[in-house]
Amino acid sequence: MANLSPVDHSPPALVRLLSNITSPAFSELIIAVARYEARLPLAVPLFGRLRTIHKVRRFKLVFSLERVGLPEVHRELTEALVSATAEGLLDFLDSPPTIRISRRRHHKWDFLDFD
Amino acid sequence: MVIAQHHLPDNPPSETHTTYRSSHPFPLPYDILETITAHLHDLRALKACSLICRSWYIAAAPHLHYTLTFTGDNPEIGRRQLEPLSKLHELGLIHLVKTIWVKQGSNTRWFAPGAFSDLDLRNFSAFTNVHTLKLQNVGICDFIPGAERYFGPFSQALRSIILYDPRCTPRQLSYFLSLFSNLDNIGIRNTCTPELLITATSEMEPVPFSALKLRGRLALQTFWWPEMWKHLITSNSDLRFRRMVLRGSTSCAPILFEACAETLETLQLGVIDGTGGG
Repeated sequence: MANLSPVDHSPPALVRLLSNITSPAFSELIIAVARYEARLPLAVPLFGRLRTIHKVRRFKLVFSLERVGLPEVHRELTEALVSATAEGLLDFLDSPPTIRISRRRHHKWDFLDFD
Repeated sequence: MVIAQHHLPDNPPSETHTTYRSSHPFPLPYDILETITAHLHDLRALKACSLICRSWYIAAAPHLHYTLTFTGDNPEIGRRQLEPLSKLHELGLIHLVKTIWVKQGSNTRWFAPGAFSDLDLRNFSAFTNVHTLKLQNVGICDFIPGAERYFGPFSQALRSIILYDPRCTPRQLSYFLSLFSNLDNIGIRNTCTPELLITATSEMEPVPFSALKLRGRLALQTFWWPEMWKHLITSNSDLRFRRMVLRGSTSCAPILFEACAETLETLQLGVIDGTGGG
């Protein structure tokens, strides 16, 4: 059983917390992207944050498109990642990021499902 | 609609259909029928298959009755919501149900102890093969104390539970989850403020039923109750999730990451969760 520590709600805690993951099987960090966020990775400091996390905990980066399934969203995200790669924003990764398209969802909260 | 169960059937095909099948020049082997029906996700297609002959019915029935859904937004209907359970029981189909989904509107609370007659409760207790329970806007607090009377029969087989806006306090939720000793996967979406729920329900000190050994997947959306996990851990439950999805729920991350530090394999965050803060 894990020991309990006081809950830390401060935003930078995520990086610090991930550095405490000791599981040898930890391999993937998945960023779920909504339709309106397809171009967001270029507009927000996401890659800077991921670079910081990667320094303390290596991972394979996966972008997950859920509930969208629209070709233009996939294309926009692909273009955003190509552009980020060209700018060297992803040079910290051991392998290029992948885009995973989830099965079609019927409800907006179906990601909770386990089927 | 009182109950929208994925397909309380009319009667199974009769012997007449069996005769048709045996006279068919090229009857398909059962494993082929099973493969075909397993790939059908359209209920109308499954229903059509089940009407061809007895062999097709036998192959389609497990898929037709896989999910039992209770719906109803009219609180006046009350106890009649559960009446169709009797027919399901009579037809011997209860053992085929693997998922139960209770869908309520946010202003409806019909799924409560008062909705169960003695017969309904007996029939509801017969769902011992159910491995997934989905409860939407269900007042879990209404079942406490005594939740085991209603959900106890699920305790051995249940592997996954999905809660949409559970109406309860964090402590009541940890008590409810501890009913299901073989639980692996948990999904919770919460859009209600915990303060509102806590003041709306009476907090009590229920004793957990079992120490959970959670080994599967955890998915949280806007779930702000880290104390719920604390209650589970202090009751000797072992949180060792391998896959974790946290969206708008990073307040739970410290306690969850610490508990699952040795087992976590994949972590999924939303874009905002991955970029927020310094």
